[in-house]
Amino acid sequence: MRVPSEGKGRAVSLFPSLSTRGDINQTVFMFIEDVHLAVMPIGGRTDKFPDFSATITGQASDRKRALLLLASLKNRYHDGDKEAISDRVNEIAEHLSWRGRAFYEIVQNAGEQNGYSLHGFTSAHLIRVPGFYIQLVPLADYKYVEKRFIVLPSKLVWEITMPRCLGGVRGYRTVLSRLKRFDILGPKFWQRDLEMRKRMPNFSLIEYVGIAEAYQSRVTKEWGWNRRDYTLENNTEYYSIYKRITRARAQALLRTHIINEINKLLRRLSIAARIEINGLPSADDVSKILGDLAAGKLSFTRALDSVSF
Amino acid sequence: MQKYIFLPLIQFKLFWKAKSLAGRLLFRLKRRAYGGRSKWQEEKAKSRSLAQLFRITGASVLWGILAAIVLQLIDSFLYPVYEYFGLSVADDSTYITLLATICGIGGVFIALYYTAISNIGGAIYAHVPNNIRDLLARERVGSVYMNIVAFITLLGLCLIGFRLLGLQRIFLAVPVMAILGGVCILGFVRLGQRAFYLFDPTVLANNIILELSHFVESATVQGFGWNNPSFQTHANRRAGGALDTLITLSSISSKADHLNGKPFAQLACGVSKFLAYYAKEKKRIPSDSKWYEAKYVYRDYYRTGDIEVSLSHDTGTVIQPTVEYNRLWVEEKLRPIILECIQVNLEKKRFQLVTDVLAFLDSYLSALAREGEVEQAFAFNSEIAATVLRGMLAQGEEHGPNSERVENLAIADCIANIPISIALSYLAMVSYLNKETIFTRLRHIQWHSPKGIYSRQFLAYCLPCLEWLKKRIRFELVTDGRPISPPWYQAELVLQAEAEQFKKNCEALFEASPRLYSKWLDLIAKKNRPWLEAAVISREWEYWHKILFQIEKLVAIWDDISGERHIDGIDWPETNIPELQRGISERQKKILKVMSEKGILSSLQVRPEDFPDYAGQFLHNVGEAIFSSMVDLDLNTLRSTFKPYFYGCLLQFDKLRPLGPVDAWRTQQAFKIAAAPIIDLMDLSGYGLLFSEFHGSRDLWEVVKGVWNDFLDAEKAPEKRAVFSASVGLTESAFELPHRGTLRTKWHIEVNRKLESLEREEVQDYRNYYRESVVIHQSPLVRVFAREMLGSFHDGIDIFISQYFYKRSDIQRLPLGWRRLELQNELAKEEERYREYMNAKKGESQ
Repeated sequence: MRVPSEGKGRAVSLFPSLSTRGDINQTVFMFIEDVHLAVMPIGGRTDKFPDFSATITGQASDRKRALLLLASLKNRYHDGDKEAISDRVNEIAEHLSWRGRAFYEIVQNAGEQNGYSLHGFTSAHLIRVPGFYIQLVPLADYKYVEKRFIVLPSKLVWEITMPRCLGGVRGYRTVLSRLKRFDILGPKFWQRDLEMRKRMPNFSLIEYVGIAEAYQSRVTKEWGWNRRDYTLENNTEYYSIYKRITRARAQALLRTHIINEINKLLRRLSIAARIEINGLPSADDVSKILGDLAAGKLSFTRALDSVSF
Repeated sequence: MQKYIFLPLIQFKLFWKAKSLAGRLLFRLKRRAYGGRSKWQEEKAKSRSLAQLFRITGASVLWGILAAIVLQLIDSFLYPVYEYFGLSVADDSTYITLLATICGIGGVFIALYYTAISNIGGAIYAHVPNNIRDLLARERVGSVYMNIVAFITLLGLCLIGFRLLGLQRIFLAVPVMAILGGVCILGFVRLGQRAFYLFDPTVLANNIILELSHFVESATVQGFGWNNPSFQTHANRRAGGALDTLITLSSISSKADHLNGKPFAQLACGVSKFLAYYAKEKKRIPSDSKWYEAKYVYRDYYRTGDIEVSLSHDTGTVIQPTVEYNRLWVEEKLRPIILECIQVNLEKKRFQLVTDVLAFLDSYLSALAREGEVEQAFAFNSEIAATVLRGMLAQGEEHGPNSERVENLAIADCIANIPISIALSYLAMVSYLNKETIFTRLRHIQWHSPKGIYSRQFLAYCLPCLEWLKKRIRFELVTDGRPISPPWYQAELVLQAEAEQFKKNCEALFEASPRLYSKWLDLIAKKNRPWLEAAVISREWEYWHKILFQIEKLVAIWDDISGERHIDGIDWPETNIPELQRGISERQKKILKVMSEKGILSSLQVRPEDFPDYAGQFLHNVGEAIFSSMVDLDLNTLRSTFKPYFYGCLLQFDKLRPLGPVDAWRTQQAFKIAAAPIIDLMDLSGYGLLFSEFHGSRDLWEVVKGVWNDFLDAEKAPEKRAVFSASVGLTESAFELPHRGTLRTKWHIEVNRKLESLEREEVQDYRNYYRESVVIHQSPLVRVFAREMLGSFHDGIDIFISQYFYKRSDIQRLPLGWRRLELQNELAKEEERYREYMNAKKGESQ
């Protein structure tokens, strides 16, 4: 495949005017953080899984190209495969978790015939037309970009989306939008009334919070998100552990999906290398743990130890 | 501005006169206007009252008119029937007269009833608080009767009105009104008789208790709006009002001499019955229902959840308190009524009434135990006993040790019997407790139904756990569409609650009850009331007997509910039933010691016929315990009980022995019965020697022999020393099973069973004809008793006479008898045989 050898991508990584980090819904923010947190062991370190290994197989030159490709994601090169793979997968997961899909521009490294880099860019204001992606630059950001739009050939873009088993892009975005629906601290009118010392007789905050929590829990069921609620206010201890293991299952699915997508990319870039992960529980393993837990064959501690890094 | 218009005129007198006149006129006008307005307001208020009266009576009037219309309509269809039977109403005047008469009767009855009530109210209820007076107005039977009479009167008036409006006479109205009039008259007769009861306000307590029961039912899952906090609060308030009325009523009753007897006792019995009903119903009332009195508790800021802390911070308010409920609020109000009733009636020496109340309390506390609230039952039993004993012991000055009243004894017996009732009720209930039952009940719970957990017969102490589970499982149903927490997890949480309560109850059964009995015994002993003491001891002995009988069941239940746990780190209660069992054993030894004390035994000798024979019972129990202490080599028990037992047997003999000549047949029979304790004593003493040799403990025999020696050395009167020989001689003189022979046979069997444990060796007979077993033991006596397959033919009496009694030179010698001679021969042969065996064994080994 031929790619521009500019050494620098054309796509705009971020439109400052569209940044929402400051006023993002607190619940959504927590959920996004928890989706990508430790999809792989951070820094490749784990005490609980001594057999864990993450390697790049292939010829030395291909392995190096693959490593350089991964390193380009964060402009950081690791000597060890395990650390490099783990951190890059976590970063891709983080990118994915914001909008349910992530885009990377494939850029040929300057002075290298077969060396590529990946430059992440925002999916905001991105239109897909046959054979191309078009980034529409918001007016407020024109002064930075000095272009109205940027055209990127599809062959220069690596797109990765949430796996279908976790709802796909649409499903994930639905989760995010639904999580915004309730303010867990009470509805706005009630908060206003509280400041004014007014009391609406028929309103029950406990009931409201209960409904909101149940709704959020239902919406994020596939992700096993516990809303960072470690109290037993709404959950039995069993359910709390069930949630944590379900989350581990979702992470295993996401991890496998990202690794598969990277391997596909390597093939696409004619890099004869392949990433292989061993020693971490797969989604099937986690499902079996859930089954054993439900049958009372596993203790809570052992079940948690089987899935936590 | 207005002030300044007239400013130029103020200098003229006419102005001021005119002003004065105008002022007066204005005043008159205003006065009239005020009067008119006041009258208008008054009329308005009256019309409102009238409207209210119409509203109140509207429904009744409508029912009356409706009934008249129905009669009118039905009647038109019945003309052919009237014609067929030739029925008719003579004329209008007769018809109207009949109806008017019935209406008149109704009016008179209404007036008479309220006159009677006013009189009763004036005479009895003039000086009582409003809530009590209100009871009279709400008296149920009277109210119902008045409603009926009012309806009949109104119906009569409606029927007259219909006729006057030109409608047909209603033939059917004649029999209907005649019957209703009859009901009215007969009802009034009954009501008149009942009116006399109203002079006793405690009769009205039944209405309050019925009301309370109604409120309790409305708070249970069967009640309307049981899950609605407003309805729960309403039930709580209404019940609180009823309870206050009941307390006021009891306070009035306790102070009035004519009320604090039977009426007050009936009130207390009614309260006990209600409490028993309430104890059963509590398992169907949610534990966070506003039926229970609420208390607000503020939490630690740093222990509160994030959301509440955020909310508190953002709004600058404090964290909302949590609510705790007092689930004993009804009991706390009602129990003092019962205690006061007992106290008052004890002061007035109405013992039968106290016994009646205690019988109801027994039922109530048993009901509590059946609901698994043993600890609570014992706590209340303790309060009752404190009140009763305080009352009874305060009368101690009138009673010497031997002049106890039988009523006091009955009351002490009732009090000491309550722990037995509690224990048996609990043990009966708990026998159904097992893992499988819990699993089955949980499996059938419909978690989505608000009533689900209350309809599965879980007891009230499980409700907090089930409610906790319900909230969370319903959360799982909402989020995941199915319960996620598996049945074993649910069961384990419920079993933990069961285990917690089981532990508490076991502690109450094994530890709280002996504390109670000890406390009572100490109190009674201080006042020197041996009969009361004996009654309590006797019941405590029975209590432990029953507990020990079922202890294996308790161990099995504990093993079942606490075994095979899945959840890590759960705070599971620990209980050690064998340890508790050892505690029982210690307690039993203490009781035995008290039982065997000479002071009690001797003081109980003069026994009225209507008193139980505690002395006999204690002596027998101590004898059994001495035998067990010999079998198990419990020297402490033996030392503390043998001497009192020895003298107890002599006292018992003395009490039972006939005073007539010994040759008369009947007297002989009576003497044989009297000799039984002596024979028991000698039998036990003989076994003392046997077990002394069996255990190789010389001390055991020394205890027994020491007591005998002390007695025989000190007692020089030959007729008293001859009692022993005579008892044996007379008992064995006839070919019959001696009195208490069966009981002594039990000892004999037990001895044989114990000796079976000895080591034996099979050896060939010297002629090589057959094999025989040799018991390996140093004592020939033990070997003789243990040798035979079916046990020895000899008993303790044989041992005692041949090995001790006969050997004393100062005892009048009677013929030994063939049994003792045989024993002596056997012992001699056994020594020789064993020596041969040992020699042969030595030879083999060399």
